[in-house]
Amino acid sequence: MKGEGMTTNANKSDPGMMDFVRIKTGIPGLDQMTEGGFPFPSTVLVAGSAGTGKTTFALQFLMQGAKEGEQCLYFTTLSEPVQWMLRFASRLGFINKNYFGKEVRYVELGTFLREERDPQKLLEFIEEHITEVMPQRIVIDPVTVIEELIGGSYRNFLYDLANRLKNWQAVSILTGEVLPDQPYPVQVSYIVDTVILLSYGVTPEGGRRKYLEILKMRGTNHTTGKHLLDTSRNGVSVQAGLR
Amino acid sequence: MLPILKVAERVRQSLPDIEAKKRVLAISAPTQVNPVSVLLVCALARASKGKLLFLSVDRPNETLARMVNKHCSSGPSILFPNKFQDAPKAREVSCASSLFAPKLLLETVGLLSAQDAGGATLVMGNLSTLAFYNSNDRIKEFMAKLGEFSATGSIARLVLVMDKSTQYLYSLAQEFCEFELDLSQ
Repeated sequence: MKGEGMTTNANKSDPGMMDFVRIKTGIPGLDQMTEGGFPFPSTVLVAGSAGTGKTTFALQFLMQGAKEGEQCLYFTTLSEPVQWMLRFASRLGFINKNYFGKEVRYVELGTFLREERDPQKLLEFIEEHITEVMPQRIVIDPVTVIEELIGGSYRNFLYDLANRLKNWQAVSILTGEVLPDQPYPVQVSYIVDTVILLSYGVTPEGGRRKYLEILKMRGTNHTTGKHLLDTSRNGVSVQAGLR
Repeated sequence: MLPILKVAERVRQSLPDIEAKKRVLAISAPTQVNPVSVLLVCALARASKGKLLFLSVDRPNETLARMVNKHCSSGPSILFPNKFQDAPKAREVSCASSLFAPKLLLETVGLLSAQDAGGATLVMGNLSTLAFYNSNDRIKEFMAKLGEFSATGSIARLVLVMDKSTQYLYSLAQEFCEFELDLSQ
């Protein structure tokens, strides 16, 4: 039986066809653009330059899962203590601090990465935590930092990471930091099922606006083009149709 | 969807029923098939004699073995709060998976169960996904063969874990099993 946070896109024309289970993204407006949410299981890249809302997006996704009774795992590649992240996140209205340490587990990868740059050991470390928690939702934020630390092994690491993540029954979000003139990290886009771009645009008045665009979502008839992304204390939300 | 702690509690309460039946259908929420399968493997590892087979349609053996090693070797605390008293005893758990090829999977089951004179216990981890890779005829054939293993006693107890996303497969599994345990809500 499906939970409240799950849907299937029933195929009326072919009742024998297996439907995807989808989970709610937690981003207001996004589920309506994607036939009900992210396919479960799948891998997602959320890419954008600094300040476009990648971490907020990822946290909303995890909070939605926790609300549904799911287990969630958040890996940060930045070397910051959990209380530092929580201090800033606590200003966001959608954060429920009761979930941290229970439904939402936080794992700091940064220190491990600085001490141990062997990609295989890093993969083992990540998978050890996944095995322990058996989460339905996983976030690695941001995955692109790992390239700076492991250099030439990065592409192989990404392939191995994606293969391992796909063997777990989870929706995994990898966030990707890019420079303002770069749309998305190409190497990561090859290995995921969904690519979501967050970007800035300049209004005729010279102000900045944020946009969300679904570049690909396998097995899904999704809305295309850039859509306005609102940011507030309540997190990010998509204004589908507003550009 | 039930939080996983509630699912564990329900598995614990239902253990006598599961142990008393030969063919059990465990319904999981679609997103909880992994933890529900592991909970059942761990519960049966404690309860049953003989070999335990943990089958998956589309996940590598290493992934299954990792979960079993992590959660069953010393007793998962969410299933058995007092692991010194209730934890499963160390016993052999064999993991097998075979994408696209139910026949190959069944051959593996045949080989593994043949080594166990008392009859093995089999937990089929994610039956629903069989429908992604196989036609209804092949699925029916697969279920019939599982039934033969059960009838001849080479599989003493069979637990099928699935969600309800495929009506055909769900109906087939309902016909096949004598006891249904809903862990999805």
